[in-house]
Amino acid sequence: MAHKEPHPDHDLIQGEWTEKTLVEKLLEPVEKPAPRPWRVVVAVGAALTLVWLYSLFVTFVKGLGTWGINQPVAWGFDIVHFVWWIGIGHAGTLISAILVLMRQNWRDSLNRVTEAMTLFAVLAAATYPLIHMGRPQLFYWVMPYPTHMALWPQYKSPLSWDVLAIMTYLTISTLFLYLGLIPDLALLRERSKGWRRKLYGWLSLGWTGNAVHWQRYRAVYVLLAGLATPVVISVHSVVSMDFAYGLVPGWHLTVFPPFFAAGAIYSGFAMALTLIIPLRKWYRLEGVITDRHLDWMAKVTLASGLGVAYIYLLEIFIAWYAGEPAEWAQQLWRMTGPYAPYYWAMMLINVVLLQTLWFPRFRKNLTWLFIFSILANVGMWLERFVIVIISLSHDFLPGNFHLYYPTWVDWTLFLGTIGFFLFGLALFIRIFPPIAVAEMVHLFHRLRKH
Amino acid sequence: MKEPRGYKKALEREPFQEDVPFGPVTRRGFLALGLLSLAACTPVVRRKGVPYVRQPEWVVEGGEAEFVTALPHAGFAEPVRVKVYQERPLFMAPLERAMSPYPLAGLYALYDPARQGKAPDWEGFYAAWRQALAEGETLLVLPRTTSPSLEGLLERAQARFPNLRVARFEAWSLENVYLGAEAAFGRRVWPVYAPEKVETVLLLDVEAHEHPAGYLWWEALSRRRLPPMNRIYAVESGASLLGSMADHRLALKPSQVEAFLLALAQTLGVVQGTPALDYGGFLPALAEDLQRGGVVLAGPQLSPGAQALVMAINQVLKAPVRYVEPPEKEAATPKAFQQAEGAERLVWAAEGPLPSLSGKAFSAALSLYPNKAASWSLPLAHPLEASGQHRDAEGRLWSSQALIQPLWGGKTLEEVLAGLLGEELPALSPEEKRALAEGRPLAEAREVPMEVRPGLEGRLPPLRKEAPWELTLRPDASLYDGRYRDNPYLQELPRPLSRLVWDGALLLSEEDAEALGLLADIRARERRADPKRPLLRVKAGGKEALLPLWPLPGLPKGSGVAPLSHFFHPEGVVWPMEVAATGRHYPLVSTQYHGYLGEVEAVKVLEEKRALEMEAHKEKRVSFYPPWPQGEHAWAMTVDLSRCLGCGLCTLACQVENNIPVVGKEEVAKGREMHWIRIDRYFAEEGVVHQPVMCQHCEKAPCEAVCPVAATEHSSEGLNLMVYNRCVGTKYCSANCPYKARRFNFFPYGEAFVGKGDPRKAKESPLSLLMNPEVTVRSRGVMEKCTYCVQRIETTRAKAAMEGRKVRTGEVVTACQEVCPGKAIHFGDLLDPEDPIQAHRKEGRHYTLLEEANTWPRTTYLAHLKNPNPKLKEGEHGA
Amino acid sequence: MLYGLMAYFDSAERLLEALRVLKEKGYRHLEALTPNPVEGIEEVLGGDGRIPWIAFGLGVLGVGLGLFLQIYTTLDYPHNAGGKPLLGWPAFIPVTFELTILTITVGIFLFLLYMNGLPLAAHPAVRAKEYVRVLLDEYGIFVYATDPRFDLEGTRALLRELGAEVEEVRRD
Repeated sequence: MAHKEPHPDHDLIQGEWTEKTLVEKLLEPVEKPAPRPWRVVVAVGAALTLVWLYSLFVTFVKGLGTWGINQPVAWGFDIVHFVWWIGIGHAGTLISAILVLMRQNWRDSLNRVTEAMTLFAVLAAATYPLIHMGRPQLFYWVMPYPTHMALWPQYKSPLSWDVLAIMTYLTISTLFLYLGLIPDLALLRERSKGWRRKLYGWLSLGWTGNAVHWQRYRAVYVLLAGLATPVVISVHSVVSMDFAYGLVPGWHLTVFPPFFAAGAIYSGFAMALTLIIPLRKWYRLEGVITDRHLDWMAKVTLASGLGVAYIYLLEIFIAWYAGEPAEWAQQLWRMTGPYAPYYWAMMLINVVLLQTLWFPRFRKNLTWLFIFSILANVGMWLERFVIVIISLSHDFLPGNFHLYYPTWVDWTLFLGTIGFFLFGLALFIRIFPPIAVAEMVHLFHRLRKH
Repeated sequence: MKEPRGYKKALEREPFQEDVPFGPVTRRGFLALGLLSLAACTPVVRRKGVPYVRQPEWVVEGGEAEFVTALPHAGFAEPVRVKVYQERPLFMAPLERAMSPYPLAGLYALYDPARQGKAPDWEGFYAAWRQALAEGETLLVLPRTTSPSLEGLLERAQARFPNLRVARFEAWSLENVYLGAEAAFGRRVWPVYAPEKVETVLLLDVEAHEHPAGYLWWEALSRRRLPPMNRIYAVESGASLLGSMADHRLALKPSQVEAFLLALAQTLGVVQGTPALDYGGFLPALAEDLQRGGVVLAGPQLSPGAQALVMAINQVLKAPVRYVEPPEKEAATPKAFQQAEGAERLVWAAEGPLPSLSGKAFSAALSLYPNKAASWSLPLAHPLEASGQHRDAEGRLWSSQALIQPLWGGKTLEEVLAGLLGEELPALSPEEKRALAEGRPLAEAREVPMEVRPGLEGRLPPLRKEAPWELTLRPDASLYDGRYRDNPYLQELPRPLSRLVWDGALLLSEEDAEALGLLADIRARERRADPKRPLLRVKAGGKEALLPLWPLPGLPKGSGVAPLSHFFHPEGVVWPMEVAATGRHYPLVSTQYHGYLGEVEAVKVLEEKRALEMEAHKEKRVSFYPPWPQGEHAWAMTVDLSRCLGCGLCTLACQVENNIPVVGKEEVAKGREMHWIRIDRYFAEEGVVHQPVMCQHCEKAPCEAVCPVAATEHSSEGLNLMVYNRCVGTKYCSANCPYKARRFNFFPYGEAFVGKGDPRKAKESPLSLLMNPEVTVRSRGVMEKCTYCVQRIETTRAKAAMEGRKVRTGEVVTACQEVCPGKAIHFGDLLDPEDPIQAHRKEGRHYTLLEEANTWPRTTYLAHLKNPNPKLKEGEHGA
Repeated sequence: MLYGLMAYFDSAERLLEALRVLKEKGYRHLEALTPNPVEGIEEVLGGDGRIPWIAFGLGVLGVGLGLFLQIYTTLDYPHNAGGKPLLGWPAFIPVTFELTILTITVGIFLFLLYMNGLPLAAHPAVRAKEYVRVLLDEYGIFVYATDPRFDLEGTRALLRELGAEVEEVRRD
């Protein structure tokens, strides 16, 4: 039954492994004492999370005035970071969903950690729409429930769409992550003692590995992947409609949905690279997260980044071609106004530096790839800054133009979510295996059969 | 409240005083703590009210009443209709034609708990004053008084106490006008103009708030700013609102303004000689136009010689000027300040700059706000608490009535003098009562026919001499000579053209700022929205002050303008000036940083001829959707930019009517002012144009569609409604509003305003009485905006329903419309064929703001019209 | 008390072979336990083709829910928002779409749990001492003692014959 030529993906797992050693290796982050960098990440994450809680407290007690937002720029860092985090989440769903459908074997060693990244990124993102409300205590008014005022949410508003899109996204990515975890949880249940055994026991729902269960499980998993694919495209499209639905020059563009989707994948892959490169080093996972994996990720980053870069140029063209004075004025404001450094830094990273990924010399250089992945996220942050803040600061009537300056609360709310994200992820990989064990073993089988 | 400041202190410290209710928000990070050190407020109203047992006959629960009274500003009466809600004066509107913003803003002072000092010991004060009068000469410094009853009391007091000396102090004096009249006619008279009657008007260095009749003038001029138009020329050393309305404007230094006047007089043959310059054709064109029927309106700061020339020119032009008896018995001048400083025993009852009261044998201060430096500080009654008599700018005598019991035991000057004399003041006479009930003056002005005596040239007082840098100390449009510095409404009302709030600055032309080497720094700071501006040491007439620099386009080279509220000189208002940079900076906050129109057609300016030729423009409206059912009315508003002076009275009236809080300098610096009406000012090719922008009540409102909780929606009558209690504060509506007409409560501004900085004190603060009960006071986190005064619409509707009739044409009047001196704002019903709004909307110059946004606004504009002289090309004379 | 027999196979092929044999011999009460999905298991143990149909049904329900939510709430309190018609269907697409996906996702997940009998508090096979092997790298068949064909020695012998390592699973 064995083929002569090796399986085309034979090098996705490198090194001499047996199932047992492979499993041991994959469960190391959970079962062995944590490496020192893990402790550092947890400490930094926890500290920033505390800072975050403090600035949330300040925001709630004193009001939104503690932020830098003002009259023309009614949306500031809050929405910038909301969009940024939501975008980052997309890589996880993309890897787990779309690549399942495309039967890409290289996803197996990446999906768990990126799905977890999605979960925490979406959680971080979801805080912003809540806290950016003037009266956050009334957040539940955006939910459809019979109120004493006999009022319902207004479903022509993109914000109402957002609420459901984000809820759906959060639900589907959580379920997807959880579904994938169940077999691994059962394995961990059998391998652990004490509270961990109890925890895994409860969470594994009593999974036994029944072959019939497996068959249904697979069907549902692929189905969810199929559903998550349009969701991952739709969520950022809906987020983009917050802007595209508006009249503000710089927002009012029909190209926004694909623009945002491309940007989301780009930033998501960049963030995944930022996380996976050190993770692989710290846990010595080079055998399962090979250079080829990283190369693939870099290629996806390049592809989606090129989409983003194309739309940057298209935006300039449309602003000129539309003949709409306010649009063109906005474009010039971006290029030459007081915020021009932000715009040009964005162009430098997302258009110029991105081109380095064409060349294997750069793409395969892990140091550069790591640096670029961080830069790409900075670039995407700048892009959201350009879209949200620069557009609002210069709309139609010169009489109301005003600049935006973030305050310390704005900054700490941002750093705080980064802390929360790192803290959450670090705890996650300590409790749940960062690489899907069952799927890796399955892949190992399939590769060995050849 | 604040420490009372002596004049010296004021000079040095005034610019550094940040009168910001929310000042410490960012600095110390606490909104509620460390704010203004509050005087203990005694609540005048307990929240748990007890209903009337026996209701007074005229009290109607929930009802409003209106009374006529005349409120003095700088001594001149402003006849107003005061709206009173259950004994609380809440709003006022001009009785006849126009009024200045000061009486309206004065409503704040009425309820301001900072007015409360120690319980006044009037008897003790009278005894001490009599004692002082027995000991020696005692100086009583009064502000400008136009009240015959007060003059009568003064005469009796001076007869009874020979040691009583009286001086009259006013930083912005009208003495030069009287002196000019003396030179021209041989006696002191006061000119009353009727500018609406002429084709051509020359505004000679005058601004609306600088002349007692300024707002009346604009009311008169604006009537002729529609075709067939008058033509306005302005020659000025500052940059004024009235000047921005001119068809031709010439910017000259103060001395050159007078030289220009002399040249004009020579051209018109008033005095002999030939003009040295023709000012790029400006002078002959102006002279020609004036000769066809014109008038020259001059600022009161022009030298007596210039005033005399103006009177002589007006006589030659047969201008519509009447001369009446001077409203003041004795001219109030800034010189009284030095007298007061030198006096051994002083009773200071004037307003504006404060002299030093220390080191005197006897010093008493009578003022609206307590003065801690004086050994006796006694409260004066607020004009709304006082009855009396005042003359208006046209010399007519008005009676005023008290509409509320003095809240803090204040007395009027009449009552004080009567108290000194031990007399009782008579109650309002039947004639006074009748005049008030009928809303007419008590007595008309006595006209004095005047003829310029021959030989004017020989006795003409010298005109001003040129200096390299000349400074004019002009009253601030908001703080006047500093007397309104305690009024946050006025502090935050953007100053004309500079749009500065909470501060005064030295205004210089951009060339001068460049000559000082400061323009590049200012431009760089402007670009990054850094409010810091270079602080200059300004020296004039032996005095100096530190003032931040604000370059303003349109000012002539070598001419500086400083506000009297920040720089006062007891010997005059026009001086040669020296300026030097200190290297320090001071934050200046303006509500508008971008003054130049870009590609977007934000505001329309047309020449009269063009406007007459133009067809009514059909607004382009595109929609896939069927129209919504129309209600009984279709409310709409037009703003006639041709009649809009940009004075900000609408902003202020809206603020008072709609309980809009003042937010303080730091919040404005962040771009969070709450004014529902923003007056955009643009430096366009045609000159300065103003455009009030408020909620446009779009039929296809971009804000409504994006609200996730339906907190803003449309009424069947076309109002864009804002449901405060449904708002969760996503701010999406504001982000999506192309006019940015929405305001957001980032902090509990309303409560903090009422509680004088502390939101928790709002409920016990007497300022809560200032709040209009018909309008919700918005809380933190809620969006707000212009409502078209929906409360007034509903009250009118209810009244009409009770009377069993329909709402009459023009019956609903919005607050902004009611006070507008140029009658630029019209509110009406598009379904009413009688309504003038129909005609407005059919005019060729009618336009909708940002038509390309396809929002179908209900508030629309009529283009600003210019009537340039075809013989004059703009730019040649540096306008 | 004996629960049954646990047989461990070292490859999926052997497992399938053994299942086929057991089925032929008339065993009914048995379970295959595997570390990952085994291709071809449907042929032996029978498949479950309902899942796509259930998902489709849930999708129809979701579309209905989404449209109902928006149409009902709009008509229940009609108001003019920005001059758009009350039932502006283009604006209803995103919510309908998201609710469809949400309904399918949650519904199908719950359906999966229901069909698989999860959560499951206890299972006799888990009591096998070497049970963890079937979660790791081996393939197991658990034959219940309650199977009519079950005979401790005979079944054990059969399983051994099929190449399995056999363990008795008892309650201690």
